[in-house]
Order: sequence, then structure tokens, then C-alpha cells
Amino acid sequence: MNVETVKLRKWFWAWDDEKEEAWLTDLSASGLHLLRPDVGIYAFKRGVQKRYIYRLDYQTHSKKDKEQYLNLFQDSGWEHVGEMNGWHYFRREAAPGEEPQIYTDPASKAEKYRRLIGFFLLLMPVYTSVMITLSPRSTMSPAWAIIQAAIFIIVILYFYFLYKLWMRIRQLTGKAW
Amino acid sequence: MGKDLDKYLPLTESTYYTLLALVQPLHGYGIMQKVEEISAGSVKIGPGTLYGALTTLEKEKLIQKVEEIDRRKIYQLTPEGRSVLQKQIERLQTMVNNAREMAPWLDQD
Repeated sequence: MNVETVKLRKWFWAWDDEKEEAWLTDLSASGLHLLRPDVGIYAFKRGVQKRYIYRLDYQTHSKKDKEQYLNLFQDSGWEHVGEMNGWHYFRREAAPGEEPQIYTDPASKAEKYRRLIGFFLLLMPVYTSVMITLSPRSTMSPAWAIIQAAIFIIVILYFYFLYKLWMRIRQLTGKAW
Repeated sequence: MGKDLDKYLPLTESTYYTLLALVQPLHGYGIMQKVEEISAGSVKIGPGTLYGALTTLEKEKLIQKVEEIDRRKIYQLTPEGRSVLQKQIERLQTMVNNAREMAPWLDQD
């Protein structure tokens, strides 16, 4: 039998991970099951319709810790579909009405977003040095102006990311940290 | 030292049940099963929540790895973990006692 692979382009925002989960669940209900996630592009395998519940986790760890981590999920019935930049995609089949969770309290779920914020803050020195290197010169060519504008947009996006993640944590725990 | 342990209190329900399960050596999934069993199915801990709890508890030395079987760490309480659990139980006991004093009718059906 021929296995049909379908590729879909989609961008996803870290604070919208629950929408991402629901999107994948809907696709599985129509017979498209995630094969592997990649940045901005997803490969799916066409098959029978299933009610898969997808859950995304964010974890970065050493190889040895990762093994422990994946075994824990596997033991408790979660299939690891793939990983993309620290995002782990898990799924399991569920009966109608059943909504299995990998995070069973808001405090631990908020930790996931704190790890993401930690990652973004880690990038702060990189951004800062790039900005200083590319800061406005007295002789501004049009090319420079474009680079400047691009950097400006990236900086705005960076703070917007932090703000959205921070709001997500607030929503879950009632406090920012 | 004794005072220090108060910073862990109150424990979340997941952390409390994780420590309670670890009075005996268990691996991650063993903890999930044990918690579900002792709470008669009312408390379920997901793997994301448990992994985070185990990482933190091990770092804070409230639990420790006693061995590793089949690439799964087997954990157990440390003496500090035992003290934290004991303190939490005392707190819960106080809360229940206070409720009985204030609202004795709670115990009657």
C-alpha cells in the first residue's frame, strides 16, 4: 500500500501551543497524522481517522536526561512523535470525551512557559551584541537602513514574545513568576 | 536546617503525593500508578508534571536516585524529604482539626 505524505506549512507561537495541539487533533480526526514536525512545515501521513490527543512540551536536556524523560512519557502511554527546537510532540489515542493531559496542575504548566522565557533571556546578550555591532552609522546606505529596520522589528518581536509568555504564566498562576 | 525546610511548604497536591509514594523506592511510572491507587483514582499526575517535580525534588535533595533499572531511575525519599512530608502532614492535620472545631457539623452527614 502506498503511504501518502502530506506537507503543511504553519507557523506557531509559543504561547499558542494549545491551539497547535487542537489543530493536530483535528487533522488526525480527518485522517492526517503527524509524521514529524519541523520549523514552519509539518509532514503528515494519511491513514484511518483517529482521535489522537496531541500535547506539546518544552524541555531541553542532556542526552541521558532525555532518555529518562522520554521513557516516563512512553511508560504512561504517550507516543513521542518528534522534537523541534526543544518542543516535544506527544500524542495518545483517546475515547470521545476523554482529554488526557501531560500537565495536571497549573503550577507545573506555568513552569513550561518559564523555561521558554529562560531560553529567550539567554539570547539577550546575543541580541544586544548584534544590535551594538549594527547600530546606526553616520553614513547610512539604503542597505543599512533595511538592516536597521529588520533589527528593530526583531527587537519588538522579542519583547512581544516575552510579554505573551509572561501573560500566559500570569493566567495560569495568578502571578508573573 | 529544620527551619529551612519550611520554604517547601505548602506542597502542591502533586508534589505531596509524589513524596508520599516515594516512602518506597519507585520509578516514574510506578509513582503515577501508586498515586492513582492510594487516592482511589482521584489524583492523577501527568508525565509533564511528574518529570518537573522529580527534577526539582532531586535537585533540592528531597528525593534521591537509589538505582537505575532499564534506563529508568528509581527514587526514594531522603531524610530531608521525609521531614518535609512530615511537616506537610502536620499542617494538613492542623487544618482538619481547625475545621472540626469551627464547623463540627462538617463531620456529620
